[in-house]
Amino acid sequence: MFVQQLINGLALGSIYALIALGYTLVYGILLMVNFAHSEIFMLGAFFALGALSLSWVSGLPAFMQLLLALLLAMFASAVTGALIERVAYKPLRHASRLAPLISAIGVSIFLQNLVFLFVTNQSVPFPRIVPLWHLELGNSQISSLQILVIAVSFLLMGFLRFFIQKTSLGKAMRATAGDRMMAEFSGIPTERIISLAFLIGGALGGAAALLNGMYYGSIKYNMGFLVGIKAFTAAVLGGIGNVTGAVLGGLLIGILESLGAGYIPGGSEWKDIFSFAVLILVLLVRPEGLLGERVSEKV
Amino acid sequence: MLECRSLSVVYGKKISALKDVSLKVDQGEIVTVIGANGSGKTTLLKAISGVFRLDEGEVSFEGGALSGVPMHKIARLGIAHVPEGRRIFSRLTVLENLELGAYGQKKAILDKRLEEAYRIFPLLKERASQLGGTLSGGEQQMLAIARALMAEPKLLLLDEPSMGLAPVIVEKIYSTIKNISRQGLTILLVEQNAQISLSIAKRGYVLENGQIALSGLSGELLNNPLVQEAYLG
Repeated sequence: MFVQQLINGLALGSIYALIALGYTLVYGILLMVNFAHSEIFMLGAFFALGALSLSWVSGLPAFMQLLLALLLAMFASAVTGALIERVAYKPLRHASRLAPLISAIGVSIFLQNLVFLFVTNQSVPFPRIVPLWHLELGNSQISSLQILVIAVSFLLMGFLRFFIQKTSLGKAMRATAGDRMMAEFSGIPTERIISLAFLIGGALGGAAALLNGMYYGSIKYNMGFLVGIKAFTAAVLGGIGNVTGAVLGGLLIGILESLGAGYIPGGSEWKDIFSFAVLILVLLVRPEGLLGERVSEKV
Repeated sequence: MLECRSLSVVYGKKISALKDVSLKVDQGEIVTVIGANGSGKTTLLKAISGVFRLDEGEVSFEGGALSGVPMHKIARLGIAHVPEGRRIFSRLTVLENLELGAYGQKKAILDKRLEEAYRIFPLLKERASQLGGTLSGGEQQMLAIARALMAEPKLLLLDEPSMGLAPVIVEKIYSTIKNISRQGLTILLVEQNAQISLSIAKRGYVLENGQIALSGLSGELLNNPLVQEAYLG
């Protein structure tokens, strides 16, 4: 049972980790929680579903469908993320820190209601795309979907890590997060780096949305809220602004939730409570998160 | 090369940080601006590199006006700013700090400049894979200057390179600055330590409460009784 819950938790946690990265990338540079990120994730699911229902996609082999849906969902979510930044946050760049936060909540409410009113207020079934089978591992089993979720997530996180550590743009991104003015002095166009952070965060959110849709089999206009808050918790747990921390936090939250649901009698009824208990604990005991640094307020 | 014409910068509509400051830096010169803490030296450099919007006046660089030009574009025009407190990217390695100084350049050019930077500061080569934040103050100052040189600037803005450093290190850094200038780089040097900055500069300005109080050749300023009393103690 333990191994089984670990596998379930790993799949769940991979999705949280992908979304948590979107929060952390933006926070790292702008010191702002992008509360609209959960809605980028939700829209990503609808983008993915839209891509899958295109007639020229639905006739293709499963692997091609998956790849196209992934790319389209990532692309559309990336553009959405960057667009939100341009419209709702950029004009508030020199306002107080509270202003973009409120703007983010506004965008979130707006997008949810947009889908509620003009797309659907019902749960929509989401295709599994790939054939379902199970791999036996002793007393536990891992499904083809879980393998897919974990594999795609880790692949994307690997790409991200390479991008941030090794490429010149990635280094510019870290420099911008470290000291924005000095980055400008070095000739780095930091406004573009900010757009890039939203693009990447959005793309990862879109990928997470496709995986989440396939894994759970349905999507809805309000699906972003809970998942978003859990992913945000994951980012805080890992140390918000820290990329490795977001991945670690996501996996930990996923595993904790699975173990809690599996071991505590009736735990699946209130599985959501575990992440939030963690959030409260982290804020009380180690507010900078597992891998975060204790920083003094910037002046 | 650089000309500031009656610059005024006002903080928050009330406190005037710079008032009618005019100065000129010619090709190949070291020009220094000395002044006490809070006299507006840092503000002046930040106004030149585009951090502050000017309330009045104009900065022109090689004949072109800089007002409204974003900071990173000013940097790309050939003005490299080594800010107060050095501002090393502390979570990035020494090598990455240097690479970012030449942001946007091709690998071949980067390698060539890196070699040159290591020639001037051999110590940085040894420290290449260390995180910037783990360097000592003097090493960080060298890195900050080296990072600025990676851009192959036409004009170097130096903000208090002696700050918080032991006299031996200060001397070392100043002799490096002098050497760099001999190779033809134009330098605008802001300092509280008037003695040392006037010793390498050709000309100097004295900034007091955001206004230019005095200006002249370094030798004249060093012998000026007002300067001696206020800044050379």
